[in-house]
Amino acid sequence: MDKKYAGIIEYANTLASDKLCDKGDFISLRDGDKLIITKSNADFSKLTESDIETFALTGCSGEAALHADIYAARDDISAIIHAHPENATAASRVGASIPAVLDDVAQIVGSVVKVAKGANGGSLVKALKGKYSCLIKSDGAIASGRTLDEAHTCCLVLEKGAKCYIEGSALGGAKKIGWFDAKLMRFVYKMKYSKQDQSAKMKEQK
Amino acid sequence: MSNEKVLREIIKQSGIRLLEHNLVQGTWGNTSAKLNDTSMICTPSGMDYIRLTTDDLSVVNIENPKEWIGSRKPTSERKIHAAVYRSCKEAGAVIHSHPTYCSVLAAARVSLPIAENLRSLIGGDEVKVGGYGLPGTKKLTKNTMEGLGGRKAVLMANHGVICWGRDMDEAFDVLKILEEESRLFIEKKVMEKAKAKTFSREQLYEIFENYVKKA
Repeated sequence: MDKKYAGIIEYANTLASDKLCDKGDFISLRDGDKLIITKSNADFSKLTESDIETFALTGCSGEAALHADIYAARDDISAIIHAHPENATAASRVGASIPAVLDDVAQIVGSVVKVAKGANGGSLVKALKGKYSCLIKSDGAIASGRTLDEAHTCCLVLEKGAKCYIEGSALGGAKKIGWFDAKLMRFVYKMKYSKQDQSAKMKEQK
Repeated sequence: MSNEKVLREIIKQSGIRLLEHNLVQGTWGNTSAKLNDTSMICTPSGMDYIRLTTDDLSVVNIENPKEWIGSRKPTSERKIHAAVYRSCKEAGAVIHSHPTYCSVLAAARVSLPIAENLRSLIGGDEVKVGGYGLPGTKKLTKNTMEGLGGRKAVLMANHGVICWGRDMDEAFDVLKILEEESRLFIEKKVMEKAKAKTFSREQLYEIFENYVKKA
């Protein structure tokens, strides 16, 4: 089996067992001038090769076009997960952006998880600017990264950050991390902390 | 097997245990074990726990954590680990991780009260939240150690938790208990606010929606 297909199947399984993804979600990978993506309503816990398809980055439609728009706008993104985890989805329903209230959120996601107004490439690219994640109004969240491994971690951390923000509201409110501190941590994460690990994984994914 | 080899194996396994119990995500968190009065063995900075081998661990000087021997740079939080061994002589293993429910309290900067039957294990009647500091800084070490006091755990503001045990198993016991107690504490707070006898996600979402409206 193609290495990229195998990678998607492996992470689909992991995301399903983490309870981050289910039917109705999507995983995609950049592959040169093409993208590889799971089909609509694929069962993530039992994903097979026949649940995955390949499109050219230009001229695709539907969910694939959303992912293609992100790949076109962002050189630093090569894997995307569109998921509906419990807490991130609850925030997306209310239309509430999630400020980084944890250091790891500031690092892998960014200073704030913004809400894209509509499920179209333009709003998603705007909400994702400088970040690896955003919410989509009433349609879950996007988690991304340089590799599937990073997009998976991004999804885990996004959901934890959403949970802290939501459950923190019962404890008097979670405290936001300062804007400058959050930007600094994001920079250090991308340029230093994760570099060796992600560079090795990027080579393997190619 | 030598003591050092045994400890290296225990630390390698501790990374897998953190992932398996969802006590950390990605390459964050770090663990260490005391080798002798002057040195500890630490996990490296930013490395995948699954790929980690016992050769990737470093031996770090407890008195001066800038000094270390190994093939990979040890975690940037080694200063906190060293400070724990210096101030808590009984400590044999230290875990720093990002478990979900502890993180909720850490983000809200709310201390966790400890029930009477758990106080001898934790070493006090509450687990405090240390003041905020950027990762790897002296300020974070100072604030975290102030929050720890003589207890076996401290929540790190907007970050996660540090805990220790006489050995790695005890450190994991402390960590898992904190995570469970944090979950129960949050549910209790939700029920109090909702004036309900049982916890439900719907009550929580209602509290959240009101909070967002005011924010």
